[in-house]
Amino acid sequence: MTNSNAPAKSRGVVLFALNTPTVDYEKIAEQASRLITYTLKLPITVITDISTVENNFRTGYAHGSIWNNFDRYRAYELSPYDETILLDSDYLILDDALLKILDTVDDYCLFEHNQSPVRLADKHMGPISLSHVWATVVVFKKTSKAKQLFDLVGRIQRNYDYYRKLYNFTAQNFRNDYAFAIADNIVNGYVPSQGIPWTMLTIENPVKKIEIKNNNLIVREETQAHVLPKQSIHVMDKDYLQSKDHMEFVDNICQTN
Amino acid sequence: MSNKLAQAGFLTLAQNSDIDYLRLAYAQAMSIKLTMSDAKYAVVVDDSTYSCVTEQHRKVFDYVIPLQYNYAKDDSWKLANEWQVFDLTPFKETIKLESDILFTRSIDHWWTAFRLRDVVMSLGCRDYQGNINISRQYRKLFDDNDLPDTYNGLMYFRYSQFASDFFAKARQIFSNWDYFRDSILINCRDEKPTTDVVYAIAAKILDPDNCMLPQCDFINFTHMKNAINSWPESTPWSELVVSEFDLPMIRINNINQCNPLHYQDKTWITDEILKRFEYELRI
Repeated sequence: MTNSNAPAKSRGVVLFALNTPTVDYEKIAEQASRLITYTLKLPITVITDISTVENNFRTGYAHGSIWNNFDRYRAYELSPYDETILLDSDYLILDDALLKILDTVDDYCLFEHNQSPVRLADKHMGPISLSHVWATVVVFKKTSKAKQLFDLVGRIQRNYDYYRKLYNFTAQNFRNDYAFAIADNIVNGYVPSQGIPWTMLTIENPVKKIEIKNNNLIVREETQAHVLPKQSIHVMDKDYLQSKDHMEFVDNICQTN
Repeated sequence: MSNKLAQAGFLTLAQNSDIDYLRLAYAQAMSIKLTMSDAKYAVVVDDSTYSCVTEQHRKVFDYVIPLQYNYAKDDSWKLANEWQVFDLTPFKETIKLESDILFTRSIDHWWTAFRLRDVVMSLGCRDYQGNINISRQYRKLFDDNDLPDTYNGLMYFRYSQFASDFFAKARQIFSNWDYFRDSILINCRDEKPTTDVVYAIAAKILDPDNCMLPQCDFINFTHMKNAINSWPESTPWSELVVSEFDLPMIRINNINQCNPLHYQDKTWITDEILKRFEYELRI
């Protein structure tokens, strides 16, 4: 039986939007927020300009680009909610599945698996290392175990070279996916925890257009198109996310019904 | 009069060659005493190894049993004596181990499952992350001959007619290895018989279903051979990844090892590690 004197837990979504010279993440977060409001009906907090560390640099995407991915661990202290869905602003919420995770998780939960429409993403930090998680989505509650996780991610960020050697990964640049995987492994007693029980869908290639028809998601790329069941997606193409096409896609969804 | 003096316990063979198996058995006995304080431990030794047993060893060896017949005097890998464990064990129920296996937690609850059969061999093995092994690199002979995917590294047998038949059959295969290799097995080029192959053949001849418990998939161990862990073969695993001793827990590549750990690389057990065990046991 519910204790009627217990205060209701506050719930909300936290988005990180840290602009770079080439990407207006605040603009992307604005569109993401409209989708969240429409689909999840939760309040949203957007975090901007907090990074205390100089910019990271990402290779392999868009011929290399500045990447402000530091200080994600501060989401725990910055979130005004008891129960939080922490999202990258390039994750488009098109279904309410994450609410189920919020209902069931005790401390925190992350994606273990990620795939594009055509392949499963490699998830190893290195040939003799462990699998990493996908920190694009972190569902957490304000518990001591979740606080330990975020505090440890902060420590890993500050001592990244040490953890890079300890966990045998080769990439030099800081990745939240790795930091959260290491912290999860340690906080959970040196075994990985159970993650979100489905696979995150990521659109890796440049996108021309996204639309929804008959409850299907149609993603048109330069040379191919994918017809997928309607679901939330992680879109890597930041040019598309800043485009008028994307704004129209969000307009169409939010005007439905 | 029966030599089965105790109800249940662990047993290994230690026959020193260029490898000091007695030292590995000592580490194993300490890991068992640390995780299962009531457990009994017996070690079967040949004449030359018997002379190396010290008072320090006897603090954790409840039984030191001399080998009766040595069929492997000239072998560096002395597997030909393995079948004698049925006669030599002081226990009515025995968990027989290869000496390079350590325990990081109690497996007392496994006895209940073992008692469903007279002989139980581990079925399959796991990688260091606890995943069931799918690599067949070391098991081509088993696949070619449709042998059960059993491992003798950790096995159980009870003082019973079926177990007696099993070890008698194993003795027969060891003694007639040339015939089994050349006339029975397909694609077998093993000059000497190995215990895994011999026991798998014995199980297949007698009754494989009576020698394993596929429904109890927790009865196996972590195998640290490189291919099982998807690591390159060129470097010993102990040089590839970090090992941490938080006894009784052992962490490899930052993963706690909850299953019995078949470390396989004999150089991994250093004097420092033995001292850590001795300190934890206050011996």
